[in-house]
Amino acid sequence: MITVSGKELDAGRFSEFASGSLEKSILSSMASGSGTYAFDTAAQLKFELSLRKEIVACAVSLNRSGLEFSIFRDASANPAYWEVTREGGFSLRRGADPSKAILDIFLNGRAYATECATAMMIVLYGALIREYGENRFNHLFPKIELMNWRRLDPRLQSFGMLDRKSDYFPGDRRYFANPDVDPLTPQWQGENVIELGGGLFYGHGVGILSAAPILRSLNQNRVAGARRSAYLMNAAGRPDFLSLSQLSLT
Amino acid sequence: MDSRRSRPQNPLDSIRKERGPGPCRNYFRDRLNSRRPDAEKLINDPALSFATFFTLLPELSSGEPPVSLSPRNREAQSLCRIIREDKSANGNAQHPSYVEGTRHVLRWMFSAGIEEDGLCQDFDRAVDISASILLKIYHDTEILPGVVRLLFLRNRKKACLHDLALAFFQSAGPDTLRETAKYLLSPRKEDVEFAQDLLHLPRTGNSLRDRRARYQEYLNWLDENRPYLAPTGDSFASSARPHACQVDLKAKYLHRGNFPGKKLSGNLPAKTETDCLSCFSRAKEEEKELLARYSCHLCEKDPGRWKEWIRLPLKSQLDSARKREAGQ
Repeated sequence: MITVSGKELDAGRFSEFASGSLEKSILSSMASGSGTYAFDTAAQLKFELSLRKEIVACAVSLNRSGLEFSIFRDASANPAYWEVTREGGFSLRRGADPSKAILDIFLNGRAYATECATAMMIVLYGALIREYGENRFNHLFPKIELMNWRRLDPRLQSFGMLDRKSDYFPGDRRYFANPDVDPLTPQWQGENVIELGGGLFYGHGVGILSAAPILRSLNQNRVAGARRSAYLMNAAGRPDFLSLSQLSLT
Repeated sequence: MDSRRSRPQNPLDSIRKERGPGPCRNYFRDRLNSRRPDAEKLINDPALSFATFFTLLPELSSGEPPVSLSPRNREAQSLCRIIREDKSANGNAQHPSYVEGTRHVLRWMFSAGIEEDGLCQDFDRAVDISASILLKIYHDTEILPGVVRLLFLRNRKKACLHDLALAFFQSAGPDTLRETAKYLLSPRKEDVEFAQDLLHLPRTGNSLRDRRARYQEYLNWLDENRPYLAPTGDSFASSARPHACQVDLKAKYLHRGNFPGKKLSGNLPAKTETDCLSCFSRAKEEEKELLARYSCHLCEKDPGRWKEWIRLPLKSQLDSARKREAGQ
C-alpha cells in the first residue's frame, strides 16, 4: 500500500508515468506489496521512483562500460581522476571534478578494475548525477571514496546496510551469499547485485543475469565437499530516498 | 634456556631485514652459483622465516637444475603458486592436498604475517589465504587472536584487509569477540571505531569513560549470550555493519545453548519444547528478544519457576518479562 500525506494512493490514477514504464511498474508493485510505503508528498514518491529508474539505467550502462573485475589488491583506475588506495578503493584526486570522475568510469570502463561492491557504489553515484545534475552533485559530494561498504558517505549509509524488507523492487541492492566459498577464491564469497526487474540482476563480473546462473557461478567456487548452496539473501540495501529527495531541494 | 634465542640468525633473514629483498636475492643467487650445497642448506634451515622464503621464490623457480628443497619448503612453494593463480570457476585448477603436513606449513606462513606484514601485496595475500584455509578447512581457531591482531594492524595502516576480514567473520566465536572487544579500550580512535564495526556496535562517544562503559557493557552482553552465539558469515562485502555472530533466540528461550562443563538446568521434554517454540514463534521480533532474555535469567535463578513460566500462554509470559524489565 502507498500513502501520501496519510491517505492511500490509488496507483491506477497516478497518471504521471506512461503505462509500461519502469516507474509505473514499481508504483504498482508498491501498491500491491505487503509493506506500507508512506510519503509526505507526491514529490517524495516521484523522487524515489525516478532514482530507482536511474539506478537501473546506470547498472545497465556500467555493464556495457567494459569495467574490469579485479580483487581489491589488483584494483586500478584512471589516474587523471582517481588515486587507488592501499585498501583497493578509489579516492577522488584533489581538484578533480566529482561528476566527471564518476562519469569517466561509465565512459572508459576498461581503464578501471574493481570488485562487485565498489561497482554498486559507482551505479548509485551515477544515478545521483542524473537525478541532481552535475553542478548540484558536485556541490553535494565534493569528496568521494569508492570501495565496498566501509568507506561510505554517511548520507548513503543505508545503501550499504542489508535489511529484510517486506517487498523488493527494481533499484534495490541485493546480495547473493556463498557461505561455503573456497578459501582460495574469497572474491566469490558473494555477489552484490542491483535488482533490475523482470527477474534480472546486474552484478559486476557476472553481468546481467537471472538468479540461477549467478547461483551456479557462486556454487562453482565453493570449497570441496560443500553442502550449502549459495542463495539470494532475503534483504536489500536502499538509499535513504527521503533524505536524498530533500538534498535535491536545499 | 631457550635454544632458539642463542641460535644465530640465518644470514638470508639478516640480509633481507637489514638490506632489503634485492640484496637478499643477490646473496642467495651468488651462493647458489658458487657453493650450491651451502645455499640449499640456508634455504632449508627450519628457522628461516617465511618472509625470506617468499622473497626468494623467484630464484627457486628460475634456476636449472632446480634447487633441492625440504618437504616444508616444497609444500610452501606449491601453496604460494596455487594462491597466486586465479582459480575462479576453473575445474582443472590445482588445489592443495589438505593433509596435516599442509596445516603446519600454513601455520608457518601465517605466523610470519604479523611480523612482516606489508612486505608486498602478494605476500600479504598469501598470509591472508593461509589464515582462511586454516580456519575454514582445518578449523584451527587457535590462530584467531593472531587474525584479530593483524586486522587491527592493517586497519591502522589503511591496508588491504578484505580477505582477512572474511576469515574473521566466517569463524569468530565468543573468544574472538572478547579479544576484539579489548580494542574498545584503545587510546587510538581508529582502533575503537574498527572494533565497533567488527562487533556491530554503534559509533558513540570516544572518551575514556565512554570506552570503558562500552567495553563492560559488551562483556556483559557476551557473557549472557555466549552459549547461544553462532557465526553469521556476514562480511564487509555484503554490509557496512556486518554481524560477526548472532544470538540464537530460540536456543536462548529454551535455555539450550553450548554450556561446556556445566550441567544443564533447564532441559524440557521434546514435546514441551515443540509447544513452547510454537508459542515463541507467535511473538514479534522485539518480544522474542525480551522473552529469550527473561527466560535465560529465570532459568539460571529458579529452574522450577522457569519450568512453570515457559508453559504459560504467550501473553502471561510477556507480562512477567515486562514486569522484570520495568523493575517491578
